[in-house]
Amino acid sequence: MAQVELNHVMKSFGKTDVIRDVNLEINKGEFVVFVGPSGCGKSTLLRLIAGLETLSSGEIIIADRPVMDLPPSERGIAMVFQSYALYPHMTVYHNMAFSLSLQKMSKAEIKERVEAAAKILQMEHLLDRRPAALSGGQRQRVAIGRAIVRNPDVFLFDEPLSNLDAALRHETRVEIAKLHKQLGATTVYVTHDQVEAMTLADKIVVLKDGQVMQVGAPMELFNRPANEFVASFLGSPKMNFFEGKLGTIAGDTSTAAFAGEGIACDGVRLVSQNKAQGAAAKLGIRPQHLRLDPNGQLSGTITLIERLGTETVVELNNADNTVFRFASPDSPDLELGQTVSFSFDPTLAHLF
Amino acid sequence: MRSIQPIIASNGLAIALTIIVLLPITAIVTFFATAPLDTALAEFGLWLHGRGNWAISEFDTIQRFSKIGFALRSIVIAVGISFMYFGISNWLNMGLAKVRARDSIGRQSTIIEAIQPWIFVGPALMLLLLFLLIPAFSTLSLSFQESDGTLSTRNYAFLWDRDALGYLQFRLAMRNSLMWLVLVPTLCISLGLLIAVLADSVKWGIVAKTFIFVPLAISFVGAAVIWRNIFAGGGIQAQEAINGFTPSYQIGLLKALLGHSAEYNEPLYNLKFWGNFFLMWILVWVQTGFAMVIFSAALRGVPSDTIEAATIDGANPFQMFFRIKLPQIYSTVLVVWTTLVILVLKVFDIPYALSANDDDKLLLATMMENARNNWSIGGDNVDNLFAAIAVMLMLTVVPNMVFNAWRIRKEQREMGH
Repeated sequence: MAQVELNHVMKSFGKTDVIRDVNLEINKGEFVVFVGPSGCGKSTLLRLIAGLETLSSGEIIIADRPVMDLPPSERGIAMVFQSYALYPHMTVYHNMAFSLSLQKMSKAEIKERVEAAAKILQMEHLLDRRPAALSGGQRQRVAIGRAIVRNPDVFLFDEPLSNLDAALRHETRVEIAKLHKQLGATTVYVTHDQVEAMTLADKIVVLKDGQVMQVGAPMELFNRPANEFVASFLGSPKMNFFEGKLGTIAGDTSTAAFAGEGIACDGVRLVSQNKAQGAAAKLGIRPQHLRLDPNGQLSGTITLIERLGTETVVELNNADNTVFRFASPDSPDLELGQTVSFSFDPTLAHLF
Repeated sequence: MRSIQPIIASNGLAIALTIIVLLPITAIVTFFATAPLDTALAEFGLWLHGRGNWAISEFDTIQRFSKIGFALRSIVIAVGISFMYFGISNWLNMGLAKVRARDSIGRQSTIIEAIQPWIFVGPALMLLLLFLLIPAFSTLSLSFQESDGTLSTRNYAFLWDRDALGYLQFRLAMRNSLMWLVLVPTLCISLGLLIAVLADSVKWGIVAKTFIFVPLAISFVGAAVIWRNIFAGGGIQAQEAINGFTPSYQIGLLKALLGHSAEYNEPLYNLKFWGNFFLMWILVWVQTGFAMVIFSAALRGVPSDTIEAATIDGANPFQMFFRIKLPQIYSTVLVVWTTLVILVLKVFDIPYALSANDDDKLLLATMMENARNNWSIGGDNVDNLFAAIAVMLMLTVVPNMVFNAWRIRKEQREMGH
């Protein structure tokens, strides 16, 4: 049963189409992350669901009600803004109570709900403070608390972590994940950070230029990207791509052979189903899937070595002058300028 | 390392003394040295007079041209002296610092930076002291003295003495001043806010705002004249029909719209008591634009995400304004309010231009002038009496000052300072 349903959602600002025919189903209790580069329309899509922007055409259904003509407050949503959007002139308590008091709820009930939310977020001691007297992380909690008290059908998060420093971002990310488990609420979360997307999501929606590129569980997207964009967007360091030509395609078109500059392999997962044998194609292989192998067919000269402690990332240039990367969990004994060879498992590669 | 404070103090003193001695001397010397310019200009005027066969007398020509010369010289010298002030004091500041802390550039800049602000603020502080603080205190002390200098509270007693000359005027002036102080800022702020909010939601808002802003450029006397034409009565007594026509030099627009009749012959601003409100309206008309412009800018500064958050929380336009936007521009409203209160205290031109001799329309400011002209029989302590009136005028701002001080402290407390 879909909690949120988007049917042929379109949005244009003037002549610019920002969202192009988006269809999406979000199930009850699901944590869905919209991810994509800046300007891909992910925030606009969220704001369309919230009702802060009006649809150009299409349909949005939340909890079985078409909400296109409803004001944001009646859509059963609550939103957490990137900048928190706390009311600076109100105490934390009143920030959280504001929406309830507008609903003419009794004082006792408001108090009960606010205190319950404060307890969940462990911020009972902050209720009398004003936002100016809170740290970034505390403000973030208040913003989430303000959403919780409304008891919405859907939580909307608009890049809620991007104003926090790295350590706090990680901490808050974990807390949001826990909170989601605890509340079991349907959540739509917008971010440009693929780590947040991978770690938080039940379902990731990758957007580019206002179009959905792929929808699926994080590991599914990682292992079986539907196109070059998704393949290169998810995963760090980025997937390597090598130009070449498509070889013989297997009978069920699931795999194909590939021939490029110094690379020839067979049995690679074929992503671009509409390509014929001999067409120009790209071989995609993740840096983690390369293996140091003196007899490997892939070789290049090292131009940069980044030792991160947990991982070593090596940047290389092959004979074709294509830049590619190799990532290894250990610390291989490599030097700048050295020429190294790699082999890889064709079943882990993709053909675009 | 030696303390740097004595160096700063002595450098500052040296600079101040140099300036105090040097600048007046320079000014006086240049002024006398350039005096022949006036004569030269006068002669040039005479020459023009001869060529152009001017109708005015030669004497007047000489007078006028030498006055022009005098004005030009004054401007150039005054501006020059200002430049000299900053130039010399800055140069001295740098130079002295270099001499006193020869071996440390860090100390040099510490010294320079300690003195520099005072160079810029100094003249303003001096003027404030000379023309505001000292007069204020001497007014206060004068108000508690008899003309012979003995201490007394008689001046204040006189103002509150029912039988005393001018009791009525003073009472009316107090009443009117307080009414102005309360009503004009309140109205300006309410209208300014209303227009700022409404104009933001329509396309032609900018045009509307421009029209409302324009009066700000009109002087109070000019505005008074404009509104006199609207509030005026007209010459109804003189409008006896001549050959069947009624010569109408009725200029009162408002009354023309209402249909004028003999009962309404008085200009509206002459109405007993209610006339005050028509006078206030003129100031409101002039100043609303000011409030509107400031509020417009302030409203734009309200973060749009708080507005969106409130939309999601379900605020209607009224709740949005009164509970989200207004509280966030609260400090701007108070600043505008204070500015307007101070402005109202200074207003004398509007009532003076329209109803100078009407006791019912007196403000404390106009009353002082009125009293100066009419109370010369009040005894030889008239000046002391005026001082008491001035002190009363000052007292009307006290509530505002107290409130502002309280607000600033409250704000600082809230910010956790």
